Amino acid sequence: MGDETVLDNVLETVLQFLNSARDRCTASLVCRSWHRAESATRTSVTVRNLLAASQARVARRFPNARHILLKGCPRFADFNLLPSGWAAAAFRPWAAAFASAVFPVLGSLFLMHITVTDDDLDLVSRSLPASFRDLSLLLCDSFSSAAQVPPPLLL
Amino acid sequence: MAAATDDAGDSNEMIRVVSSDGEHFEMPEAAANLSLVLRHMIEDDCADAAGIPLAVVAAKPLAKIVDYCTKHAAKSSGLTIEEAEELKRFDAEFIEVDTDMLYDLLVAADFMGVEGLSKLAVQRTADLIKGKTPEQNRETFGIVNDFTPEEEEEICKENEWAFQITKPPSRLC
Repeated sequence: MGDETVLDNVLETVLQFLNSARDRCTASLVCRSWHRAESATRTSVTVRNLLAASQARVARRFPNARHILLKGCPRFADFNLLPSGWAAAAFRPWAAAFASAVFPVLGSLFLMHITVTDDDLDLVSRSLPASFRDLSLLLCDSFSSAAQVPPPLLL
Repeated sequence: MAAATDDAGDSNEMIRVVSSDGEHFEMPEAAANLSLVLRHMIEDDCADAAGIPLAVVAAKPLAKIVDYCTKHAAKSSGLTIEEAEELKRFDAEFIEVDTDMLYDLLVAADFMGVEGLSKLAVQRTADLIKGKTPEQNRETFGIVNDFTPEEEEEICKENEWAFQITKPPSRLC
């Protein structure tokens, strides 16, 4: 085993013990090998605005994400300050990504303030990994109770 | 068979180990058993008077590990509260080492399969990282920043705008 491999293994073990957002962001900026190890060990990922990051980028940076929180419209959308239909289709590429299992160990998905259609839910549910347990929607709209969601996914 | 003991209890055999740089150490069998690797060697009757060679562990960290195992083996089960406290104090002092030694201990404890020591060293390293800036971490661990300024800015931006850490979603409800 090369020195590099040993170092990477040790680093990943250590970084698993970092929980705070600040410490994780800091670790990701130290150097390339820390960045790699931090990415590999981050299990909870929040995307503050699903338009701000591409699903491909998130999957590439955090392939071992177990919990993902996706946020859509900002808070002021509650007050009808955004035109209707704003970011309406923004979730579709994410739904497609989840359906193609780009997060192989995903356990839970939390969607907030996002326009989610029945088709999106259908897509999401198509190819989730065996580890998946929990889908939650908070302040989301456009879906109906007719959405084809398999039994383990309780809405 | 391992060499018979000369001190530290009659029934307790001493196990000999040899560091990568050829230094010999001795510890009670109960201490050696805290290492998965040594325990397997002992069970397979590979512990002889010549000592078990540890090809990747140098004398300096090995001396520390022998200390750690000896202390912990002596107080393994049925601890009183005071003894547990004392062991905690021992651990806290034991792990107050420079980063070079900390790294050697991390690697050696992992290689030898000494679980308690691995945890201790990992926790200590994580504690050194917490609450620092990237630059402070580079200083502490002697790391060269190999990002280009552009890459660094890119990650900075991404960290700020896109990603946050969350607790598992159930706790957000």
